[in-house]
Amino acid sequence: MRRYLFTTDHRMVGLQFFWLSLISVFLGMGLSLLMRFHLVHPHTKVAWFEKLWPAGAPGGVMTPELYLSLMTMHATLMVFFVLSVAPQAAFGNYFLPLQIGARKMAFPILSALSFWLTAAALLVLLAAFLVEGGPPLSGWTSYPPLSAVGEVSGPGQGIGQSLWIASIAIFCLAAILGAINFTATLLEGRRAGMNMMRLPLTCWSWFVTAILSLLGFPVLLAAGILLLLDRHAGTSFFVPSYLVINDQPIAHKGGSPLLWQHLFWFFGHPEVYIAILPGMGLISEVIATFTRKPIFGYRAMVAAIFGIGFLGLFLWGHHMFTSGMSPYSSIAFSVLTMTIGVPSAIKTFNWLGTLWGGRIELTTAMLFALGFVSIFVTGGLSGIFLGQPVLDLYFHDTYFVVAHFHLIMGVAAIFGIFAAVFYWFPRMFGRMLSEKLGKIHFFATFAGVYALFMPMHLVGIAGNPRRYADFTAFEFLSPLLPVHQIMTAAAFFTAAVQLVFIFNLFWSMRRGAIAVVNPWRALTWEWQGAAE
Amino acid sequence: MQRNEINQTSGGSAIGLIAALSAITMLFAAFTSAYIVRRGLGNDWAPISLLRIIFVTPLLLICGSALLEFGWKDKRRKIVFLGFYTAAFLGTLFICAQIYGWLKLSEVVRIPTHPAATFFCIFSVSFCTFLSGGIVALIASLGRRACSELHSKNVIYYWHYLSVLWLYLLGLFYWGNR
Repeated sequence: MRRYLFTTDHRMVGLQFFWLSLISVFLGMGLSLLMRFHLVHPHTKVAWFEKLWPAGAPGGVMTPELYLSLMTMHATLMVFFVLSVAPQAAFGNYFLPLQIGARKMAFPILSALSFWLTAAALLVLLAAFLVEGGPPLSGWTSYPPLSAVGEVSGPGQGIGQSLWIASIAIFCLAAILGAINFTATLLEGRRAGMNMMRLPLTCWSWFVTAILSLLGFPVLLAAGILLLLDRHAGTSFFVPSYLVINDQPIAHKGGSPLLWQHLFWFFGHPEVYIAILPGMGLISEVIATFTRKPIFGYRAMVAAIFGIGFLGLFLWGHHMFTSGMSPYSSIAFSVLTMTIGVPSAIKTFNWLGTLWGGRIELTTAMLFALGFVSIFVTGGLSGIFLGQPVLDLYFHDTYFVVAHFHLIMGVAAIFGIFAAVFYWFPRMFGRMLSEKLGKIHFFATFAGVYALFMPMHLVGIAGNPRRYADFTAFEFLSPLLPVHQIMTAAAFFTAAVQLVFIFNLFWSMRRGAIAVVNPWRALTWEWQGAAE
Repeated sequence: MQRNEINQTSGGSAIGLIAALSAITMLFAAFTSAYIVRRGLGNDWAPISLLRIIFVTPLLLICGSALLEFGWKDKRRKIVFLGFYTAAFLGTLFICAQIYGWLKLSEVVRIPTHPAATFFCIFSVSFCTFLSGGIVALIASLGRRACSELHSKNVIYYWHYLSVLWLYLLGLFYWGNR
């Protein structure tokens, strides 16, 4: 037990992060299914809803507050405990030392501490389900003033919201410790001969992700501390004067909700790249391996990773186009947003350049890598529209935005994670995943996510706002119900298909074919040793 | 190396230290942004008059820095130890001075409803947290190597960083009070 729980071995810590994110992704997915069900059956009585949430679903019908709570928890689990954990902390801890020829991470104790803090953060977050009022309902962005004034703004805004902030603060500490460890390991722990320009692109992307974490998470931590003080110490950083909520005057005065938005999005936008950069690095290696070619334009790829990371720090304002910011600021943020298309395009064309003329092997890992490219491009294209202040005035807070960020940040990153699992499974567990089940899983998931998120763009264009628990209550939105039904069916289908993956994962761990050393004939160092 | 000298190695992770300091810098940069924005909002901002002792506190840290640096250059075990323990003592004194400052401030204003006082406490408490870490690191770095070896200069660099950071924060408050 000691070997598994209190280990400082980088491989074991990587696996701990992997299992934690796997639990989180299924919890988050389950919550999203409840939300999708409610959207298309807003008045249907479900007996066990009431058993689970007596106050949130009286008579078995979900209240709008419960819907918003589920949405908040879904997003928090997915963004923090899946997309920030699996690509970087899980695979990074496991494979970074192996890829650079180090025996361990620079600070093994920090690796373990980072995991235990993350686990504690997850438990604190989930505890919000058990407290009076339930989980918070202010979304993963936790915008004040509603998140800053306590129970007066709704159920879940009391203890639940405080637990949410505490959880995120603990998570920030864990992420910062992890980032320090990654940076030091990569720059100081490389074996002789592994100079920087020989690093696999996975290492470069983990490195830039670590830098983004070092610059972003402290800002979120600071914002979280200020928000907690507003809630519990009576300060006024984010609560404006003369505020009345639910007919009750709020005592705070002088603060500004926009201050939170600036601090939050200074972290929040780089968070997109924290989620997706490791996937970009990984699929570069996968594509190179399964085309039997070196990656096309290695130096340009490294520059593009840095370009994306650097520009990503200056784009936060495009999340706030509708906040009343100066038009000149909007133009600046818009131009910068468009600029990030350049390094993104470099990466995409270099992936295509690597595929060109290669001896392509369509393994499951390769399919997920190609799926990543497809979804990254699709999601990126809608970003061009959202980066225009004029168009964003219309699209803001509609399902168009939801479709965009789910594709570019969620699904693309998840495809990167799947590619990583199928690619590295033989190295991690000494056995092979079933390719047959893997391909079924890939094609069904690929079809499912497109069926789910492409119609969502249309719903957004039609003006359907996000975060409405019952859009059918509005006459102009009611005709969209059939589209929502299709999306809900696609969501349930996609979720069901993940059971194939789970079966494949656990079955193959015990019964899969024994992996030979370096089954993919890859050239990176992690394969130059026996599997675990 | 003579018998009574400390063994100074180039061990320790300079990159790890730089990364940690980057994160701390970003934390205080975020607080600074909030301070500047909040100061410009509304009409409830009133300057605070800090105790004189607060303006003396940078000297404690700077003296600590100088002693640490002097000890490191001198190399003699006795001098290094003296420098480390004195710096740790001065750091503790700094924290006591801050606590005294908070208590005195709370007698004059109601801190949560006074934005400038709130920010002073946030800066000061956060800083003292990192300084406590520095004091523990100073003592631990001596204890672990049991009088024979000082493994890294990182802890001294950390102390220098804290000295500069506190000067910056006091400068920010001086500006904010104008």
